[in-house]
Parts: sequence; C-alpha cells; structure tokens
Amino acid sequence: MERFKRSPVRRRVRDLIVDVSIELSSRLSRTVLMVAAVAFSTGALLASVGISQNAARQVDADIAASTSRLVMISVAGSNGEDSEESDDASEESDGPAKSTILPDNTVERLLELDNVEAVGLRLDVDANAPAQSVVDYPVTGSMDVGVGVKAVTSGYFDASQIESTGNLQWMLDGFENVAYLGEGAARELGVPVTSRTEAISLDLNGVNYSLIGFLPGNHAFSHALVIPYSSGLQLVGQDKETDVLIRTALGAGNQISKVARLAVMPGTPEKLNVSQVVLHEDIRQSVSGQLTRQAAWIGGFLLVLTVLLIANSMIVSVTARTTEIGIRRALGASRSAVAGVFWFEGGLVGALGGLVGAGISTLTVMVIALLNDWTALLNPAWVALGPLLGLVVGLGASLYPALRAAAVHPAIAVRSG
Amino acid sequence: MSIIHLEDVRKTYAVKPPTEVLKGVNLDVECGERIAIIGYSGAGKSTLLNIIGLLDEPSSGTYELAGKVMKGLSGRRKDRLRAETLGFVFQDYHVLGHRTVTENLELKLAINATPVEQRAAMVDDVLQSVGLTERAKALTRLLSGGEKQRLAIARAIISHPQVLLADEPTGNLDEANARVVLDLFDEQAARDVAVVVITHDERISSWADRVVHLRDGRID
Repeated sequence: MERFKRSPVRRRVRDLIVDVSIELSSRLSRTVLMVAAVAFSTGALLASVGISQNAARQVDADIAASTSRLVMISVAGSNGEDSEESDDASEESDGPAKSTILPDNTVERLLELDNVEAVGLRLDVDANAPAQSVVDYPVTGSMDVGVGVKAVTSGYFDASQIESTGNLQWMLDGFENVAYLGEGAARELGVPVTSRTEAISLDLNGVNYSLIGFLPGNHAFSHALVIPYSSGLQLVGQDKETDVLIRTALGAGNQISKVARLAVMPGTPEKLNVSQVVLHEDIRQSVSGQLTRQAAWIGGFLLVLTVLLIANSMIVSVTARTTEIGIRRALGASRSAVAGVFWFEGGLVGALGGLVGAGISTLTVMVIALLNDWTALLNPAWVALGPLLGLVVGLGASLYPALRAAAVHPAIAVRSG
Repeated sequence: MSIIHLEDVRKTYAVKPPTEVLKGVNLDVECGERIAIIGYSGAGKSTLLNIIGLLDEPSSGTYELAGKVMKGLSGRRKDRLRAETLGFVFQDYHVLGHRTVTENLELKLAINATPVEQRAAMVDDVLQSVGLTERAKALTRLLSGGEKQRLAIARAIISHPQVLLADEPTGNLDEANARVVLDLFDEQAARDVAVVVITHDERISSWADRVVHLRDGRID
C-alpha cells in the first residue's frame, strides 16, 4: 500500500484559501479589527508621505518668496545718452563705437555692500551684436552658428555657481582674446575636452580666441562660447543689454535688491531695474527630502507597531485555537500545513488592510490638500504599494505565531478542549 | 496480519521525577475487530491511544501500523499515515463549531488532499450513513450532542480509514445516542475496520469483541 502521494499545488492552494476564508469569516470581528489595524498603519504611512510632499511644495514656495539669494540688475531701456556715464568713444580700432551706461567699477561698488558674495556682468553677444556670431573650429573646419556667444566677467561664474576647468577665470576680466567653451558646444564643434587647452583655439567671426578652459555640466552656458566681457562689449557696442548678477548671503536677497541700484548709480537709480532670481533647488530638495524622510520614519514606526499588534493578536488566536490545532493534527495535517494556515491568514489580513489603507491614504491626502488649499500630490506608485506593504507586514507579523502553532503538541492540544 | 502491533511499548514522560506511564504494553488488533480498552484514571489509556494514533511516540518498544514500523518514520509520513489510515472520535466531539457540518467534513478531505470533484459525493454519502443529511448546512455549534458525535464519526470515517480510534465516544451521550454510535462502529467493523475504544462505559464492554484491561501501565 503506497498512498503517500502529495496533492497538486493548485489543489493545496485552493484548499488553503477556502480554509482560511472560512476561519476569517467565522471570526469576523477579529478579522475586521486586524484588517483595520493594517489599514490605518499603511494608510498613515502613505498619507504622511503624501501630506509631506504637499507641505514641502508649499514650504518651497514660501522659502522661494522670502529667501532669494540672487539679485539681477539690468538697464531700464536707456540708450546711454542720459547716462551719468559719458559715451566712451572706442579706444579700440577694430570694433564699433562703445556706449555704456553702467560705470566701469560696477562690480567693485556692489562688492562693497555687506552680504554680497559675488558679482558678475553678462552680455549675450549672440543676441545683441550687429553681426551674426559665427564660431569656427579651424582644426576640423566645424562651423556652427548654433553655438551661443556670451561675454562675462569672472565673477559671473561665481555668482551663478557655474563650474569651470583650469584657473584662468581672471582672464575674463581683461582684454585678451581668450574663451571658455561649454561642453555641449565642444561636442558640437568636435573640440576635444581636455585639461590641456594651450593648443586649442577657436575663431569668432574670423578673430582667433585661445581656449583657456571648459564649462562642464548642464547650465546656461553649456552650448556657448564664453569670452571676456570687454570683448563682448566691443562686439555689441553698448551695454544696455548687460545683466549684473549678484549672489548674496542666504536670506539677504531682499535687502540687497533694495540698495543695489543706489550703489551702482547713486544719482539716477531709476535707470536700472532690479529683480530677484528664484533659484533654490538645493533648499527645496533639502526641505522636501527632510519632510519626506520624517514622514517615512513616522510611518515606519507605525508599521512596527502594527506588526506587534498583529503578532500579539495572532498569538492570542493560536492560544485560543489550540484545540483546533490539535484536531487538525489528529486529522492528519502536518506541522507546516498548520503553520501555513496561520501564516496565510496573516498575509491575507495584511493585504486586505493594505488595500483599504491605500484607499484611506488617497482620500486623506486629497481632503487635507483641499482643506489647506494645496495642490493634491500623491505618487500612484506609493498607493499601489499599499497592498504589497500590507502583505509583507501581515506575513512578517504572523510568522512567529505560525511557528508557535506548528509547535503545538497534538496529543496535548486535543485534550485541552 | 495485525493492523496494529505493539510490542513492549513503554512511555516515560520527562518530568521531575520522570514518570513511566506505559510499562511494556503488548497488543495486537486485527482488521474488523472491536476492542475496548478499560482502565482507571491515570492507568495510561489516553497515552496508549495517542501512541496508536501517532499523536505521541513511545519511549521504547515496537509499534507497527498497517505493517509499517513507526520507529524512524519521518514526521510528514506519519502525518500522511494518520490522515489516510486512522480516524479519531473524541469524547468532547472536537468538531469545529464555527463551521458548518459540510465544512467540517471538507476540512478532513482537504487535509487528505482528496480531489475536489470527489468531495461533494463523499460528503453526501457519509452524511447519509450517519443520518445528518438534513443538517448539512447547519452551523456545528447549533447541533445537539448526539448530532455532534455523529458528525465526529462521519469525519473520522469519510476517508475510509483502516483503524477507528475512539476516546470515550459515548461518555456524554444518552442511551439512544450511545446506541446509534455503537451501531455506526458496527458498520465500520463489518467493513473490516478495526475499532479501538477507550471507555469506562459498561455498555461498550459488553459490545466489544475483546476487552483489554490496562492497569498501572500494563495490559493484564
């Protein structure tokens, strides 16, 4: 007589589902309580993340409005004739007549202000020069009119926090024909990006410029040739499109924006416009990240509490069902089969709780966003994670009780009723 | 060949001081035999039944069930053997009160891995044989004592075991219900099922083919 064939997996799974469904439905109040526990904990986790994301956006907006560090000064449409600075007839013979509004010592005047950390001038040659700017790399013959041409002082890199290679930034404040090249522009022109730039030069409208470095990363100058401000001024002929960028100490943006025009042109500050530049990705990310981490910690703590709650409930259940365990063993159920019933039961309760919790969290985030006038934001992936999270919590919490159930001695159990 | 063969079976519980409950039991039970084991409280009846039912293991001695030596058999194979060879009937019925009559029986079939398509017919057959067809959908906790015991017997015999083990099966029943239980046991014995009953009940002593007296861990 060989009758030890094991049943097919599908039938065993089906029997397990039927078995556990009957147990859960017959103890409905206990099941509802356990599902509710998982629902509220996973709901709390998901909702707290969602709420923190919404709050972070709001905090971000508030911070951006109050603590700007970048101040921009531009000329208010004057052609220079009314400038307190007189026309500066060109001393250079190879450029158009130069008409300037901003004083030559604009940078120095601004740097004298407290809380000003960096100042730089910028003139977009490609947009303002009378002739089209053509950049040419003689070695390959690449000519790309799409490459922008910008003229800056050395302080502009510092103020806008653009990284550059080498240590010749100071040359941007002089009159030599030197240039930096954005990495994107280098790729387009076929210029090799190297630390040794001595042998590399580019032509701008037929005039040769020696390369003194590259500008790695993605920023406003990625696809541009950057030349000294004085060279750009020669090409454009006037400075009314020049922007002065000021980087201040944290939180000093408002203060500097109020005094910057007077510092530059004490007699006629109305000739200048001033505005604050909102560029606070680092602060936004910091606040958002901290709030999200805080919410995750709170949620994680709640999950641990839930694991303990379910585990305790399951242990009580194992104790209360000792006779039933004995009966199952007497009927032929193996230890693993008994453990499987309790483990599967915990997993099912957890998954159901996670599903309900995902719904609760979605509703909560929407209601709280509505009440606070926030834009509702909830990552669908987080919501979809609910049932899975619940399943993991349920399985984790019921593992020990399941093992305890498996360890119950059947001979003692059947006599305990 | 005996369906149950016990030879010098001893059982000592490792408590302080160690307690020897069975002190060399020898017993053979044939297929279709009705045997009653009688003894005072503490004589070792339940321990003997647990060992025969594979719910406990002897400390020493030989136990063979259906021709298989139990010593050294894995836990899983013992579980399967218990599921397919043995049927249990308890004094307190031990049916699951929160399940229906049918669900109690289906649990046993699920444990035995009986094909799903065969289960309904097996449940119908066994309910008919114990007279509970009308109560198939009833919650078990709502049944009378006699009905619960008939359900317990139905659960014990639904998978056609070779041995039926009963612990005081008539202890909580009146005369009429006790008679019904014994008649059901008779039917099983007629089908070559060995029926082993632990009892104090004189009615069973007179019903059994053989009465075994267990005194102080030994069979007289």
